[in-house]
Amino acid sequence: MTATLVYGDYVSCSRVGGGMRSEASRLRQHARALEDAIGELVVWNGPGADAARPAIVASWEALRATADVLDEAGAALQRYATDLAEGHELGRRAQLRVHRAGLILDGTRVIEPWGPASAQESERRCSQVPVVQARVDLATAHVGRARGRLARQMASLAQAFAAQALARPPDTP
Amino acid sequence: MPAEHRIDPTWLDVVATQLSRSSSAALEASHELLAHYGDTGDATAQRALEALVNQAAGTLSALSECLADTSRELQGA
Repeated sequence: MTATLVYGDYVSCSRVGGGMRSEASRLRQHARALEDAIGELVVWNGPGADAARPAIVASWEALRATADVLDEAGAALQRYATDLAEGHELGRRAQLRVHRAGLILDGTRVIEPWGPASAQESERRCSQVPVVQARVDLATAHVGRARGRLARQMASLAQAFAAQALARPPDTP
Repeated sequence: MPAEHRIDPTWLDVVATQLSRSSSAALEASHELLAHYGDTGDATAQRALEALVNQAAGTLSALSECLADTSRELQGA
């Protein structure tokens, strides 16, 4: 059997994504508790309140928004883990087809092995190449699309995190 | 000028405590993110994931500081 066709560890990706979502959930719980506490400050007014309230509300909003972005990142990573697991299975089946057809893989290219073979055997192998190659391409394209999607989502969500880091609450005078 | 409506200081303590707890949770989340590694199996996707994790950890750490500052300011109000 040739080397692995699809690389990556979907278990670790799923674990990291799940961890992000758990942390996001904990942060949301804190945001809700903070929201309840802020609600009690409604009757507070005067210069002290005017100075403190915007910073408190901005901190709460930043906490909530950051939790949302973290949850979205975790969900994207979990989706990728599912796609990667499917890719591994497609890759495993494709490699089995390669092996059964008496062919070998050169990277992701299906080729005939070197060495003596009868004309009949050589013709049989040769006729199998396109259909087996299509199976390999299906697996690599599936994973390739998932990776492109993940990279785009991670880049976009990293920008969202950066925007949150820049959105500091107003200083209290 | 409208009169200042004083509030039971206990409520300010409640908010300050909750801000402080949220700050600890944000810092913990930041550390937690950096403690784990997901192998995407592809260099480009891996770089994007690691950049996101680093950015998220930094943002959570900054958020933690911000929440702690607000808590301290409220305790001093």
